[in-house]
Amino acid sequence: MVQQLNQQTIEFEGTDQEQAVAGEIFNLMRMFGFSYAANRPIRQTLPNLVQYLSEHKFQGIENAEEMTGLVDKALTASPKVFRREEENGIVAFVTTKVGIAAVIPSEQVDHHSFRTRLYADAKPVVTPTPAEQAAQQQASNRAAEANPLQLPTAAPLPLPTAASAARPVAATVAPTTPAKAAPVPTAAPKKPETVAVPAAAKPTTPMRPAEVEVAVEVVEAASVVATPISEPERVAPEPVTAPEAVRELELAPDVVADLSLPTNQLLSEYGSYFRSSLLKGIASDSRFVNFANEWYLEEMTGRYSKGDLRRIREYILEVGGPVTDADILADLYNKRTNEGDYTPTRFALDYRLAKEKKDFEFVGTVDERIWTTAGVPAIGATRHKAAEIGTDYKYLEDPNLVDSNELKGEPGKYTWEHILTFYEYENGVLPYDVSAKALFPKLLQEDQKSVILRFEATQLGVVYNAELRYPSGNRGGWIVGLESFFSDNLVPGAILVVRQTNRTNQFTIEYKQGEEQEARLLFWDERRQKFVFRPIIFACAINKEEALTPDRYSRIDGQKRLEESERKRTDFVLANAFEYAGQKQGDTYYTLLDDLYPIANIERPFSRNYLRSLLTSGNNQFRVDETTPDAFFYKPAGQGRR
Amino acid sequence: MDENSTLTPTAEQLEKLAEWLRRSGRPQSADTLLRRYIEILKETNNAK
Repeated sequence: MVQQLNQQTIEFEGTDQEQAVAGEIFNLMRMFGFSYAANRPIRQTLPNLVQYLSEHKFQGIENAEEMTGLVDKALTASPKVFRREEENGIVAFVTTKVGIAAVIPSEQVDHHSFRTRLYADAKPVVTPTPAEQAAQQQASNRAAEANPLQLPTAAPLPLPTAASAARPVAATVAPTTPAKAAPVPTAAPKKPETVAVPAAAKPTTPMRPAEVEVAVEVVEAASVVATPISEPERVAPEPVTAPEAVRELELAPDVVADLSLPTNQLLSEYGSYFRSSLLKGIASDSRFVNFANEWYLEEMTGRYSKGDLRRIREYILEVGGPVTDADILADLYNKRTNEGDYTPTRFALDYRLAKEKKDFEFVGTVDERIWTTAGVPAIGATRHKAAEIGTDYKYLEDPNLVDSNELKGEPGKYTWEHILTFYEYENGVLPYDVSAKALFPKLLQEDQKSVILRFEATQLGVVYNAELRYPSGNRGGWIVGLESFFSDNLVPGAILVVRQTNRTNQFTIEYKQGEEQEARLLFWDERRQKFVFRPIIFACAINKEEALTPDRYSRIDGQKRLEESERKRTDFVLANAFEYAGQKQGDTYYTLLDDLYPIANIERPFSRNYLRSLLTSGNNQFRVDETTPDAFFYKPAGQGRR
Repeated sequence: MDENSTLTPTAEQLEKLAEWLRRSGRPQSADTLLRRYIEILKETNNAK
């Protein structure tokens, strides 16, 4: 039976639960390193420990996240026993069999303690000179004649502390640092040294570390006298040539990195060069595959059959909307997030679905990977077609035409206050302008067209699914799907407040509340096919400068919409807006930009900067009032101002 | 925007990277992969 010798009592710190966890892990790690020397570091990564304990439901805990927090806290609480390390984002703990946190870097530790355990006085063998060899030989001969053979007493070997079968086996091998490339020796092998020894006087050698192997050739004793000891050929040891260290590496013309710098410093100074170099290598190597920001090996990425893909597609259609990869794995494959292979399984699903571009479209973000398929009902019911809205918002891609950022706060906690225009209200959309670009998630996949957003209306307790359509080609981006939130609660001119949450695709949306009031506001009468001012009671605060009221825009009452061909011409839309908003002076209309902005935004979206640009960019129907800021004249063509 | 580097990973370096990914048993983020790549550059250039 294997018995553990000299077992010490290890004192752990922390709460009772933490001490229990630390004790369990210490025993596990000691078993893992049962064959190690006493002071050799035993290292285990936190994920490996968590996986093992979760699988064994230690203290009834199955949840990996909960277990991770507990183990990390428990081991960190006993710094004398466990040393915490973190490399490449992977936390590991190091201890030794004697329960002392290893403090010596493993590279500097002589892992083999047999020398000290077996023969404490061991010294390196030094090859004697020929004269010393002869003298030693003679002394040895004399000693052999005088004393009988004596062997040194070997100390008993320590027994292993546990059977290897009890070691915890992690399903996932922890990342390990490959061993450094050993310098290749270039010296020729040493020639065995030949020493003439009488057969009867063969010396006994105590057990020593065999640093130099000495071959002993036995010859007749008589010849020792007759034959002088020949001078053995001494091969001068050639210096071992280590590969030349290259500390400076050219990353680009005139950009040289000193590789002896710490990795963090190299990343901060040359990160983009290293990234470019790495991407060049792995993008052209078919072994490496990626989905979004994650990379793995093709050979290790699971595959999905045509049947699997069909089932997934049918599942999305059955749900009737985009679904997360977690839902697919849970509902179709009964895969739980706390399973050890969940991460690679999830990667495989996302990677394989991304390859099936005809059937699946990624509409997710970094923290929620969402998939949809052809046939799923589109989000949002807009007055205009998606292509038309995209074209309307094309100006958002010109930095000179967008208005300044409306965001408040800091990244991750941005708040966007936005005044709703008639166009936005009627189509249930928001512009993907400079504010929205900072607020909403960036596209994750290069070919990604849209992302599903969730807006929680905190005042209503309702969640609205919306879709952000990213700019592409000749089209700008916009957010669609908020039409019922707008029409049920707001009027054009209302002040929207959108806030970021801790998830990149989830937001809260609310409106600034105001006293309940009744006002006559502009609406499109679908039945009569004309614009009308209609009394409405609402409780949201509105920006009066952007409200479409009859006292400012009475001339639009009863008017029809522009034809689509007319709506496409910005000068036509502006001319129309001038006629509704402007003060008529003879054959000329005069208006301030602030009055023009709300009414121009009925038929298509404009920013203030876009309006300024159109009114000053050469169409001589429009003229700036040099005496008043942001005031403009419009004189219809054919009336003497061409 | 990444600066364009003239440095191309060698087959040995890519193999080391692949082996590391293989042993990790799970996909790794681009940042983690980049850190590992720099470590491999140090090792293969004996600058560590």
